[in-house]
Amino acid sequence: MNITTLNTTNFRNIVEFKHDFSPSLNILFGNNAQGKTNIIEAIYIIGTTKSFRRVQDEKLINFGSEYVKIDAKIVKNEIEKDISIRFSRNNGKKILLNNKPIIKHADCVGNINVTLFCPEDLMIINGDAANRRRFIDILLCQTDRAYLSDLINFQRILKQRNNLLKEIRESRKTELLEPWDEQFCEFSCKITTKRDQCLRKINKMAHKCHQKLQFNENLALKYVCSIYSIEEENQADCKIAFKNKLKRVLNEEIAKGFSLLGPHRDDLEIEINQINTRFFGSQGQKRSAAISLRLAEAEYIKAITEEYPILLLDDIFSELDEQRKNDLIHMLQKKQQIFITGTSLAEFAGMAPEAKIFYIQEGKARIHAHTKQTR
Amino acid sequence: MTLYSGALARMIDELGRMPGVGPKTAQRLAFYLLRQEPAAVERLAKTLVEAKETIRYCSICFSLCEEETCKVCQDAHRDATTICVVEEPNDVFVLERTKVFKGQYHVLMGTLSPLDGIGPEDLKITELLKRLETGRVKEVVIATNPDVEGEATAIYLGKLIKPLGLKVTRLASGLPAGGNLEYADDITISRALGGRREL
Repeated sequence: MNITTLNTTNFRNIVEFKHDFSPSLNILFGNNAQGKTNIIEAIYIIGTTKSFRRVQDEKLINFGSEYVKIDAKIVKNEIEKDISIRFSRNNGKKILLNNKPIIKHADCVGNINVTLFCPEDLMIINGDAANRRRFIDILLCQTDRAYLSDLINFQRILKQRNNLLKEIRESRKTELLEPWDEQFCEFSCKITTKRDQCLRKINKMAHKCHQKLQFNENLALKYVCSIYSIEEENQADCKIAFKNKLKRVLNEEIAKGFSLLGPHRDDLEIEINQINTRFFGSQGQKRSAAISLRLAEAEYIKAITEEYPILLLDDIFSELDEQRKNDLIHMLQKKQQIFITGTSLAEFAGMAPEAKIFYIQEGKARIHAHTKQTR
Repeated sequence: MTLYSGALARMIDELGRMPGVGPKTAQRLAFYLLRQEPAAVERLAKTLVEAKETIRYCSICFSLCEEETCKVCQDAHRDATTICVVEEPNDVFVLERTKVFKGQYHVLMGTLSPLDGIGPEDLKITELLKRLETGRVKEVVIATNPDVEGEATAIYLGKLIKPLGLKVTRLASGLPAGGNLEYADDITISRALGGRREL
């Protein structure tokens, strides 16, 4: 799967962009704040309909303009498709697939999968558990439609249950929890099981990627689950086990007024050579662990959809030493389409001959002279 | 909305309180009404006041009616051994339209929802249990919506009613009738698979 052409109008500081891409390596270089990440963002939006910067769509419109347009030609399973996303200040968002409007925007997700590597990925290792749950949740939502619906239902039940716990603390009867607990257990088990299964696969993939990248260090991911210990593994009994556990913490839950157990409290433990990276890893180890996680994410998407996602590497190269840069590029090349950003062309020495290179300056992109003419 | 003041502002504000009516629609409705003949507006106002005065809740099942009890509850031909429990009065009309259900109804007037402070005592559950005490009812069909709150209410009712020795059933969920498998979304299909039955 790859993106052959991108054509944007009024996208952030890029007034006009219209270029074809290489099906393998694309390099975007230029000084800071020129618009490199904006191009990455536009491609990301083609894949997911949303920005990774977690902003309202309105912020995507160039200052002083009324609308933004992102058009792309993509090829998936050797079939060419046109995706167009428009957003105007007056008329909101419209998505067109092959010139036909798509009503449910979620239907557009999955036409093309993208995996983004960015400096903020360090938060998956360094940040609190919510970051790690988000990592796994986003991945599962991309690859499993039912998961998103389970997650939405779970969050609704959790809110209701937490509110009820507070009411029970004040005056209400404990029995009222029963109908909520029934569903709370059901959705908790569904989510936990899917996360666990996904992580088992990711673990193997991340381990492999990391060995190649980091001289045989052992990276291991473990799902830390509040419902059942992973060793028990008998998911048929998951619901019963969880119900029993809930009974034991009931009084504490009422006193605190919120749910103490469930997928919303779970975490993902990331170890290198059996030591928790979050607390004891070096900065470099954390960075490479984050990269290995993203590589594993790409492998997981490949395993599910049978095609590699487009890899967007935003500003992560500057953090790696020469050896790792080369190792990473070797791992990635010839598998899939890649977009890399950096501040100078020197960072990409050694791989430049293969690539299509764009120089970005003040929101304008031009093809760099060194690009080999492939077509 | 500083643009409007006095009677016009009050009118837009009142209209905008209705469900499904946003500020723009409220303005549109207000301007529409102002363009009408005085008689037409009076008729509308009178209809609203009259309806509010005459329509009340059935004293047995809490669906809407203009007498003490509703037409379904009065009808001697209806099957008094089956009661269908719904969330809102309008659900009764939805089910009646099908002409399939021959039993009686019971409107809960909402669902359990701790977020909105709604507990069992805020719903017509005591009234339902009283109806069941008579011994005539053999089956209770729970027709609350298949969302989180509707499901919790169904589970709650099931736990209350089953010990009375009555049959408790839940509306099936799955593929829409006349639908094409191809057009159903993934969640609907997986629900339908879960609830499949033997031919």
